[in-house]
Amino acid sequence: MSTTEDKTRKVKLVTSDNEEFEVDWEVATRSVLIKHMLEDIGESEEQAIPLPNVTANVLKKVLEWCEHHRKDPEPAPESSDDNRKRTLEIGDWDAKFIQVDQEMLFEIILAANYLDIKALLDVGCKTVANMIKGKQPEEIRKMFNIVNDFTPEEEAQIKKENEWAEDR
Amino acid sequence: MLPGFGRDFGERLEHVGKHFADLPSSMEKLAPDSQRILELKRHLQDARGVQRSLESLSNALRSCIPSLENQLSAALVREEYSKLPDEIFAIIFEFAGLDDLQTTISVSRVCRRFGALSLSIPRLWTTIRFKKDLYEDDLPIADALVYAERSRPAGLGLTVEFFCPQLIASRKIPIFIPIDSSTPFSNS
Repeated sequence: MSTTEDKTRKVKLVTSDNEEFEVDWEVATRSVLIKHMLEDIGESEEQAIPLPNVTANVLKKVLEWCEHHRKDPEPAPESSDDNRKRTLEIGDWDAKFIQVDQEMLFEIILAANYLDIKALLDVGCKTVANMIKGKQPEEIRKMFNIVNDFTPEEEAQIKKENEWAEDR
Repeated sequence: MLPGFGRDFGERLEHVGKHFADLPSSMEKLAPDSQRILELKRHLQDARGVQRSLESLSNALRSCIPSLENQLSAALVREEYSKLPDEIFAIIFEFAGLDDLQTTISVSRVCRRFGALSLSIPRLWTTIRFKKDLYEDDLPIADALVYAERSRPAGLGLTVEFFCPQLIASRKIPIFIPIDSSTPFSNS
């Protein structure tokens, strides 16, 4: 499918709020979902790809990432899943790119998951992981506005179970 | 006041602004002075009154806006957070828990959802560190075995780190046999 022809080909994407984006094939196919959809509709079609789970402002941001990473090597196959999670480091450009408010951060993560862009999903997840790292449960609850739904008994039990392993 | 009044109110304020901006030049034409003095007093009173109100309005807005913004972002985050599926939190927990059992334990204590999810990821429980000075005589090997149990299906190395070399030296630690021979077993 990835012929030289594809490199000059344009792809039309339509967001949930009905905005149309026209991007290079190479950029759009950073998304495995879009790549598969393009393969399904065939090369001759000029059909726009509907993305009902992504809004225009999020897609704009995601495409900015895809544009910057258009020349990256093909994402590693599923089998190397184990190796992929071994570092928390984020590249300089990605670190700057992901400096957004929490709402946008979550939206990017959800979009990357839906569009199947593993490398971008990792950037988002690492960013949230870095926010969680070293935090106490109460701090994590505050960060995500999570209600502690453990009963006091359960909490005491969990605390006891983990007590020996904790540094603090 | 009904929400949504902001735009109309803003327009009216702009009119008021224009009124005061044009006022000095229109006053210059007024004669005689006796009448001018009367008018000037009234307009000055207006201008000062409006200025006072605007200052207190501006103060109220200064404290209101950030507070509304915070509430909005908290509510948005709450909504967004519940939208994130378990599979994404699983990836996040794995990154956060990289060689960091402390964070993994914190995560598992946040709420039921996080607790159940983190316990379902064996890979999170593959590094065990003993708290430094807590156990003078007995290391809670049995407790550690709970973690070993959690990590087992990962089929990965289980690393147990002891911070009490004197106990190892004095052989107070029962011999802890790794489940399979490839399991790394480091004493530090």
